[in-house]
Amino acid sequence: MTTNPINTLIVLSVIITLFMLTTSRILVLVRSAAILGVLLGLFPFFIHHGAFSIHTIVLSSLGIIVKGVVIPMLLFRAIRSATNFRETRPHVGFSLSIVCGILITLISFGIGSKIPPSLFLPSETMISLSICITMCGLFLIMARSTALAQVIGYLVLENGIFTFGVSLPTTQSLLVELGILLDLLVGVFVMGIVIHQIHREFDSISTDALEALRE
Amino acid sequence: MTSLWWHALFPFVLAFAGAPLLLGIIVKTKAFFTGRVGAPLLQPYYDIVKNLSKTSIYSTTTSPIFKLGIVTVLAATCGLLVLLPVGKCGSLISFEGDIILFVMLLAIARFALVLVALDTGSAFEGLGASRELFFSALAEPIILLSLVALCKSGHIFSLSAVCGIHAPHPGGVSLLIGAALFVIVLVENSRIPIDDPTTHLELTMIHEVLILDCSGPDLGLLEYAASIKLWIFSVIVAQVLTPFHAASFLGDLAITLGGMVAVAVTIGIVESSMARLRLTAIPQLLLGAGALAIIALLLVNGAFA
Repeated sequence: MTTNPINTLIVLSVIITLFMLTTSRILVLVRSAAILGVLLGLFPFFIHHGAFSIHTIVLSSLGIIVKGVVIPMLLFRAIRSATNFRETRPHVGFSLSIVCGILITLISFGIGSKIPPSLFLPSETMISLSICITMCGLFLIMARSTALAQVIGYLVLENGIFTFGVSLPTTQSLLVELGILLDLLVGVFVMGIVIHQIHREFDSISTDALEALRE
Repeated sequence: MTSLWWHALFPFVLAFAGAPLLLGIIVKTKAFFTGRVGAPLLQPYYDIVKNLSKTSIYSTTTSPIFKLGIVTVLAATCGLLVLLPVGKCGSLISFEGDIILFVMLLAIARFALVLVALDTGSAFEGLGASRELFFSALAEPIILLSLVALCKSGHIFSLSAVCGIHAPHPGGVSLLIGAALFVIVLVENSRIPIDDPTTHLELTMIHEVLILDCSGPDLGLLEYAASIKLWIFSVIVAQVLTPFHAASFLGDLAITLGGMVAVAVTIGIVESSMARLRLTAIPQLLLGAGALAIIALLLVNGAFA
């Protein structure tokens, strides 16, 4: 059951995603996102049963480099300028977050088991995993108040979509995935600049401070 | 592979004799990490014998519940020992659904201990009782979830699924449940990230404050019951994490004992390398353990197949 490397990867991904919901430290959050990116980048190597096409190798290495190295570096740079390393006042508390995370996991694996197997769809476990990661990413965006944590939530959400794309049996998904990666990179780039600006203007990267703005 | 009934007596008797030794191993490990010689391995035995030879002093506010509670704690803990399977030795009593009885006996022991604490009428003990119950309320579902996952994976709805003698557990399930149960060991036995057993400040105590008003033989019995509880949980964790079996039942027993020493040393290492967690951070740790148990349950149910 667990001798299959894909299962091990799936379990590790779920654990890391849930862990991201419990930590208040932004640095830990960035590192976890990097590890999650690398883990998901490894999926294509195993999912096509060891048949290493150029598509697989390019996709995996690009995914690992961008999500495991480039984006974390950009985020670390953004943190360096911001002084607040901790999420102190999240909209949803950390204990409640992990309860929500567990519920999300159960619901997504419930949905996954309901989907009838089809040729055009990836395996149900991969669908479950992608739903789980996507929803946890959305939850992070909603539940955290600092811009950095929300950016990481966005990253996690993209990871979920990437998981779905990776498991599609068609080989035409390369362009789509590259497009997503590029979007993400630009997104994080822009957010890094925005976070820097927010921090310079308001001395905090909490988005709650922005809500009080009026013309 | 049918185990004889007297095989099950082996670990049972061994538990009564060896339980305080685990505490000694933890203390020795901590002493090693701080560069001291430390108390002798048998110190917990000396302490218990010393306490048993004294006379008890009772507060004027206590009622007969106090004495009754102490005996109940020890009796319920020994009841747990009767249900506990050890490898091929098996358990003295085993039946369909005994995991429910196991969790219930744990709850009875805890309830009696809390009654003992509340009966003294001390405000500190009320505080400790409330904490003990709060953390146990979170720990109990995790114990049940872990045991259910093990039962499901062992295809037998009994505590004997823990030792995986009928159907060995897959590695992933063993690791996840082992990690979740290790957190439970720390919580249930009031070890360091949750509670500091050596603290002298009542406000930070959990287990120690519950037995603050006990003295002499009462204290000795409660300490003995606590060491048996630690023995029981380390047997479970050791068996979950060592799913392989030797040919003879004695070899099997040796593997489990080795695993238990490893668990005790690990507790010592955790205690030497960590500080106590803030009280608000403990529910997070427990929920994390719960998440591991749930993932293991999903794994067993074939959600990842």
